[in-house]
Amino acid sequence: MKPLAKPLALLALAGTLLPPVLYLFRLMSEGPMKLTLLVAALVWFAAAPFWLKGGEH
Amino acid sequence: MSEHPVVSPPAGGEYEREPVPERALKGPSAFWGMYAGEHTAGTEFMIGPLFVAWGASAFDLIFGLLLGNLLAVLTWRFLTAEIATRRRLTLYYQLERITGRNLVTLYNFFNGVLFCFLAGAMVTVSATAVGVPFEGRVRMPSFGDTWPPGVAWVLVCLGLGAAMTFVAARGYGFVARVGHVAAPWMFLVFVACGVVMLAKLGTTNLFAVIQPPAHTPAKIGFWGVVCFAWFCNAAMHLGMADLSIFRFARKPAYGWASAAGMYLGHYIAWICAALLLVYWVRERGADPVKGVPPGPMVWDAVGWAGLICVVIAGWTTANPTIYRAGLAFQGMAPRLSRVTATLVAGTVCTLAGIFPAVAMKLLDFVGLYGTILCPVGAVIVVDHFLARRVGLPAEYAVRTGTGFNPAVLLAWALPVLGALYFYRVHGVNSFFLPLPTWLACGALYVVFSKMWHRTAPAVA
Repeated sequence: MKPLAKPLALLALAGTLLPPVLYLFRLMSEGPMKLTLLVAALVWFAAAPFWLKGGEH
Repeated sequence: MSEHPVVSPPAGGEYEREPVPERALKGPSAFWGMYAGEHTAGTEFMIGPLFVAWGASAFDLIFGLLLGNLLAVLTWRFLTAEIATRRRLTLYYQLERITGRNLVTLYNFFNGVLFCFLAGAMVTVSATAVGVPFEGRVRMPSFGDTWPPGVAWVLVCLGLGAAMTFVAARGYGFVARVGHVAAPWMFLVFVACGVVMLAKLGTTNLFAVIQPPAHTPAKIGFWGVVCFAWFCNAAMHLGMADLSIFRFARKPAYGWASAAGMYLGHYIAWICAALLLVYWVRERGADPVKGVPPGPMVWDAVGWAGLICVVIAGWTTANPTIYRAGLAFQGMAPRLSRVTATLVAGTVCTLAGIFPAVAMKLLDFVGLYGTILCPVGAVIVVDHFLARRVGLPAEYAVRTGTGFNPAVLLAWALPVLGALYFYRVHGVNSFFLPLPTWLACGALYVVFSKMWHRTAPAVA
């Protein structure tokens, strides 16, 4: 999981930012945009803990 | 705003009563990361829309926030970080060396109670998201509500508050970890909300869409926005609470790290959150004065990801705040176990969360929070920069062995009482009060110390 964590987490961040931008330019509709954001959120919380360290203090 | 009010941790291992040694100092990335994460919190979802409800224009928001946040960063850099890296002590120990133990106890009391109300606002914000799937059965509060809007609302708040208190009582390491991991994603959800709102409004011209509501007198203008941005964390920079953080910095230049929190959380996130209410007012006919709770607005903008973000943002910021409030209470009554103190704090916080008054009047509350707590920072600034120049005994309590320095109590209490008078009687906005209160406290401390401490005996 660890080697995949960083690319997956970065992909999730892209999946959080890009769909609204595509929606802004009418390249994506509202439903798929919201679904992509949800999937990106799930991927982020699955991958990011293996990538980001710290936060205990 | 910041949700990292720092309370002196229990003795043992965190250099609470000694300068941080060279080997424990941290590099700049720790500070940039911490400030970026800690200032993108649940309250940001309230503050942005409240600016709109108060009639701020696009110019006020864009340039007022730019200037106010710059002033906040400069305060952190040239006051807080400067003193922190010279003394390397926590606020509490530094204060104790000047004021004596008893006044630190009083400070802890105010700190603990205000933390509870702040955490209560987080419970309220989170509850507006939890209520969304139960549409129709949970009535949401509006900006004007001070009392709970219904039984279902109370039950949601009680459930959330109990869960947050339970986790905080077990120690907040896990939640701090979740908060750390969630921070970059949460920031992008704010940005996503802003972009989606611009798409729905059909323009990217902020100046065209952010306008004060017609026929509604503006309650905040350019200088109000400047002062709010500057002083919403007054307790942390002017009030010196962040001495506890920057004492670990290698150089005072690390104070610039606060810019990460100010310009990501208190600039971009606030403007994005403000766009949520702008859209609801312009396109869906919402009353800007009554407002719309964050949960339904975020749900409408970005769906489930937004609801998850609101709950996590509220939860990860409420939990450390409850935990730290518990520590503040424990500091007052050391015989109290940390778990018991946290449960007391969590109970107060949950009860506060049921009443939407604090969250819905967050702009006011944050100003009062700074007004009450930040003046003690002026005492530290006078002690550090001016004491020798004006002939005052530095670190008076250490020199004399006293547990109570009346000069500090009066210098703190008189300006705060004066500020509260102007707030209550003359209706002065609370975010204009921290700076004059802080300056008055510093000046009075010099005067009272000159009167009473001219011949302070040194303790052998």
